[in-house]
Amino acid sequence: MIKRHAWQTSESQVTPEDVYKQRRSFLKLGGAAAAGSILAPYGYAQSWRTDEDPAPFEAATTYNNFYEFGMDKTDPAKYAHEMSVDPWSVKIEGMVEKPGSYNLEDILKWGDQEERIYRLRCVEAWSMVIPWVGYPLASLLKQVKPLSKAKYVVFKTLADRKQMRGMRSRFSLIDWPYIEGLTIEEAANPLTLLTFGMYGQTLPNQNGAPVRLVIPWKYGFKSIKSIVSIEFTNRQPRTTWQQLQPKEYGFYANVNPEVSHPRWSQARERRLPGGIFGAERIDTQMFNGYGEQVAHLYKGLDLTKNY
Amino acid sequence: MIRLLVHLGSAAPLVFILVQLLTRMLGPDPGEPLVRFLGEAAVVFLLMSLAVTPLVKTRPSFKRLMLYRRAVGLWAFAYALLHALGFWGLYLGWYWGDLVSELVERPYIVVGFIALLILLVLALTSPKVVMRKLGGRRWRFAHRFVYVAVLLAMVHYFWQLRSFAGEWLVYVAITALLLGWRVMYHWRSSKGRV
Repeated sequence: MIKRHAWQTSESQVTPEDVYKQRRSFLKLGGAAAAGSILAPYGYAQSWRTDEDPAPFEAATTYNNFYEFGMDKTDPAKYAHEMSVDPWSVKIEGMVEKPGSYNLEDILKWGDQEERIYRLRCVEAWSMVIPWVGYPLASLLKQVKPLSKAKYVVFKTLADRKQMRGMRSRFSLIDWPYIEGLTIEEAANPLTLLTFGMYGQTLPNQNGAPVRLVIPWKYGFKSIKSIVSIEFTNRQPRTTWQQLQPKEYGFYANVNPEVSHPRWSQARERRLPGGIFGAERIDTQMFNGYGEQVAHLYKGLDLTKNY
Repeated sequence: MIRLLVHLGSAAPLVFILVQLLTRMLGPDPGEPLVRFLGEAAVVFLLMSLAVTPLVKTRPSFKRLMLYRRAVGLWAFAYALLHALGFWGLYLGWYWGDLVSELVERPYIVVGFIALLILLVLALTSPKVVMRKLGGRRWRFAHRFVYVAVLLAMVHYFWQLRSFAGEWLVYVAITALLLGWRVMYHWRSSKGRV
């Protein structure tokens, strides 16, 4: 019953050999999860698939915002290989029963990996459809057990000037490390994916290897990459983009066609990749089309003020 | 002969970016790099046209440059116009409604649009016939608005940046140098007369 899309069959043609090798090691790591679901492509259980066409692998891996490697969209693909992601550990800190520094190998075992094909909507008014592989962040929460007084989860990206040349730029105004945050309810929502792979293979470095978040109803900058710290707290954190431009980027950053960015409209988006006449322009959906799953989180909240 | 070279050289960046667009070298979002490139080219040509007078006045041996100032200025307008059309076409998908709402709601678009309108007026009044009809005095007055246009272009450039860009600082420094030289020059020559 599972339909194979054109992009799935042609995907092997665009996958470079070293990525294939990576994939094999990834499959080993995720082997337990893969065993139960033979029918699904790549061996992952699937849920939350949009039937829109995913962007080609090449588009999703050469057009990235990852300012630690430079401010051009092409910089991360050029320089992210300078980051070493093996070994990798993540600090679990703050108001939590089981704090500590955990190896990636352990974290991979805390949930059942599955593939999800999500729309990714960037605050810059473009979007791509991307097949991710990971497990719900809720599984991690179950494992580390946040205390009941923890109301927010704060995430930090690796900040290492030696491996990340964008941080060495004199022009950068960002106060590293990159910080993002969610309410505990948002973190526990089944759509929030702790992500280790895309297109059936391990995440390329420029896409946030080895572990990142994907929060499909929020603008892309909330989906923090290359996570080294997850902290539980009772105070709403000030995120990196909030610090830079508080009038333009809020804590919630939910996709919302009715609330414009001060400098551009969010009513429509360019669906990438585009051709020589530009990308297709489509209407942006409230909560990026995931309102049914998440709208209840914001009942009574003025989304014009809490943008 | 030199005039032909000036035009060929001025058209080269346009050919360069169009070839990249047509061969799909501009990546998944071709509109963004195309529009950015055309806008930057408009700024560079505008600054080149503004550099002619200071160069000629300080080095009289460069006075032949004066012959090509108008051509460079017209190319600045051409790049600015293509930049605006590219924005409308590749960003807004040729939607009239979106163009109007951008012009109403986005101050940085308005600023860029005013700069484009100024350049349009200067381009329309650039032929010798029009110059003669207007008379030197009025023509010079009108063409001083190029200073307003370049300042608006710098504001427009800065306003659309999502975070800091070093190139912008370079262009602003050159603008300050070229306009500052004019202020100094007129101040000195008016003092000299007294």
